[in-house]
Amino acid sequence: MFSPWRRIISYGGRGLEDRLKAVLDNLVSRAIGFVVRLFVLLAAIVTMVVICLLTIIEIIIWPLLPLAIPGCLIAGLLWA
Amino acid sequence: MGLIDLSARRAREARLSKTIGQTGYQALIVVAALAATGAIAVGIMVSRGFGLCLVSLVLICYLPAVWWKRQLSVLPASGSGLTGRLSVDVLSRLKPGTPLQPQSVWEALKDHWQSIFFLNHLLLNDDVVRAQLTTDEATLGQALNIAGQLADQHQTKTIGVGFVAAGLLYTAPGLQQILVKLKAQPADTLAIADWLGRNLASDESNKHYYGGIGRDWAFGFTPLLDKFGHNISLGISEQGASFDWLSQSDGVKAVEKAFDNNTSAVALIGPTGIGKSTSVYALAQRLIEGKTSDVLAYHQVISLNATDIVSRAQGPGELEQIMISLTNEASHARHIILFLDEAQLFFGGGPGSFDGTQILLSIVQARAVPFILAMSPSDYQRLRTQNQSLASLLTPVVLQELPEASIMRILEDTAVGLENQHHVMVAYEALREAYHLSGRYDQDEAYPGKAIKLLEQSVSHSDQSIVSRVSVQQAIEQAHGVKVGTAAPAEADALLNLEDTIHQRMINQSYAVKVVSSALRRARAGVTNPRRPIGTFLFLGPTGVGKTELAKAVAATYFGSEESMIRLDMSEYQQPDDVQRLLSTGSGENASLLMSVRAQPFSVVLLDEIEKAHPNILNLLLQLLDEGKLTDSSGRPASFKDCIVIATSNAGAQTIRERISQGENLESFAKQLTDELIRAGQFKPELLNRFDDMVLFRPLTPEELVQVVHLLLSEANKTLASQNISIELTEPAIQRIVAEGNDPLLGARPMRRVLQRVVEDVVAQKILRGQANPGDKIVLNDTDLVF
Repeated sequence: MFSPWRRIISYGGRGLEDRLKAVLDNLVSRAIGFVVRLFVLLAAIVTMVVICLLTIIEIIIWPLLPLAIPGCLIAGLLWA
Repeated sequence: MGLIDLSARRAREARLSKTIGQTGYQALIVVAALAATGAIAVGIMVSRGFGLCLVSLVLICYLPAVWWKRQLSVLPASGSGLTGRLSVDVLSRLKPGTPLQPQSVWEALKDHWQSIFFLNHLLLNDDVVRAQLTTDEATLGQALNIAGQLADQHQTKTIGVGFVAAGLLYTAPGLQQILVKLKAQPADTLAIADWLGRNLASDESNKHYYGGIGRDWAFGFTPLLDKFGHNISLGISEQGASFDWLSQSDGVKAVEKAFDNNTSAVALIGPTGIGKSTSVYALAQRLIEGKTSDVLAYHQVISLNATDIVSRAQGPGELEQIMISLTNEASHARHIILFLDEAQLFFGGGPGSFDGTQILLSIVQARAVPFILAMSPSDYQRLRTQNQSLASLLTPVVLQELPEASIMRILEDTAVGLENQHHVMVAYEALREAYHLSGRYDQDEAYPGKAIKLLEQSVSHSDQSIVSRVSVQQAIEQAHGVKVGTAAPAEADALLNLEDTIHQRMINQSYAVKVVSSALRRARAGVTNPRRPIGTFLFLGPTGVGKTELAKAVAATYFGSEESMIRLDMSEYQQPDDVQRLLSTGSGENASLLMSVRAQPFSVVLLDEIEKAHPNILNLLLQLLDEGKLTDSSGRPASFKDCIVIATSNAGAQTIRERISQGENLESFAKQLTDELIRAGQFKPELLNRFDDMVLFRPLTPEELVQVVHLLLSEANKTLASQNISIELTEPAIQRIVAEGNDPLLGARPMRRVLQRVVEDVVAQKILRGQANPGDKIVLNDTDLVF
């Protein structure tokens, strides 16, 4: 989850400044990786939940649809 | 109830499914959509009650549409009976009351594309098929039984139109005889059914799963590899190519196993055309489908092109730098397998190549990136000899040639691609012919590559967009300059009158000419053993009687040119070590027999004075005459199957002279002469027995020598024709040339020299002195000739 994004890793140099810069770069890379993965996982979870709900609705409604034809017609005429 | 219950519910549903059809389904969906839109509009703008009424119309259209889509159009199999297993396409075409017999069932199915698939690929038409089908219900039972078996073989629960059509065609006995007459095989029907079954299965499962977006995040960015390499895995996932037929092969499994066993580099070894690159593509497909072990999970394959890398680098130093950078990038990105096709180019094995052996050695030793190096067996041997340290780091995987059935499947898949790409129809007989002819005439490549190549070349020879057996024959004739098709009428005439053609340049020797001509006719008609040379002859007779001339005439007549002759003086092969010289694979001015035949596989091989060769050489010839091939030191064969092998010898010349002078016929003492030669130890019986024919030549008579002079004179006149000058010899002049040119030991051989020296010299002088002008005929008498 916190791995660097697409293996973008900075190894830095020998000096302290270079090393600190590398640490900062790697933190940014990991942060980007985390955000991208988080959003993709969230999107996947939402999609799965929606598909599950639609499937459940279909299972409940499907056997009732033939009855809905005269039902809609009668109710519609009465309502009109 | 008969074989099929056409009044059963499943049969009725099938007919309803056909009645509604795709058009009906689409109409229902459109009306449902319009009604839904109307319902919303009316509900908002007019009245919710009317809107609700329109919802019932939506449901009236939507429900049958869904029923058709999910149930009727697929109609899953139910039960093991025929009515329960026949597909919706079959059942819907059989109307109630259709007589259940082969003819009427074919009539119902013949317009379906799967039936047409059979007709097209067998080159049959509907009238022929209908005439051969019976009206017998028992035969239909057999046909449906075969159809069921075919469905079982392809693990499909329903029996489709194609399988029923295959059963009908296969059980029509008259049709099988027609197929045999068309040079097809009865089993071709079932082979096409198998081909069709695999196509249908492939269509059903063409939506491959390539691992989702998580796959792409498993490796880093590779800008340099994208520039110098080709990402095979990406190509497969984007274009959806399928290598299912190869993904279970021994070669692919061996590569996978090698990486599982922690090797860092695999040498994929095999000759050109065997499918080294395709095996790597199949491995790449298995990788992206996630079918490999955890060790290789999420890996992708990137191919590096040596030529490309070399052409982009400015110098050797930059080459090294590029290779190191590419490897570092692959190592850093992780989950990458580098594939070096034609790997010999990376270690200095070919023209324009660079020596990257040391770079590769350090890279492979570091085990930073898994490598696959594809190379030929000889290149691998060279690597082992020249750089043992690198070779020892590679795990060799040797690809073996696939069996015929697998190659035919590959050709079938290739044919589908060619049909789509070139808008042609590839007949099944063309596939079989491509397999056989490429095997016989293409010795440079391995299967399946050579058969695929020939099939591709055949497309340009298609007739009315049909690639047939003849197209393949024409392609191989063009590629190899050999005649394999049925002789055209003009060529057939020439073959039938071969003796006359040869006699235009050969005086007499009728017996020899007849024997050789008959052998050539047999070869051209295809009735000889294809595993041996076209013809093998031993010419026996005195010097200067036309043995070499007949060999030249055969080369000119059969192979189109006197140049199509490989001539070896066997007196130069008298030492035991000369065997190596005969089989040497080095090129140069004195090319060996092996190299000459590889360069010129369609030729006359003339082995002069064979009796003088060392016994080791003669033993080698046994293999040549018997199996039609010789093998070099690296195990690579050279084929002599398209050669005419002629050995000449003066052995027995004295006996021939004596017998002929006593008035005997050549035919009468041929057998006796053979026995004498064996008894005298001049030839071993096993060698003589391997020749198709021993052809005896007799000494020329004075009358025949006169004809030889005429023949040589006509040759000289052909040369002078460009200057519009001709020569004529008087009878005394001819007699004098015969007397001077005939030698008891050398036969007519000195004749050409005498004619050149005497006649042509006189003519040359006349031309230079201005005594002969264009349009002149120079008549020479015996007094004009100075010997």
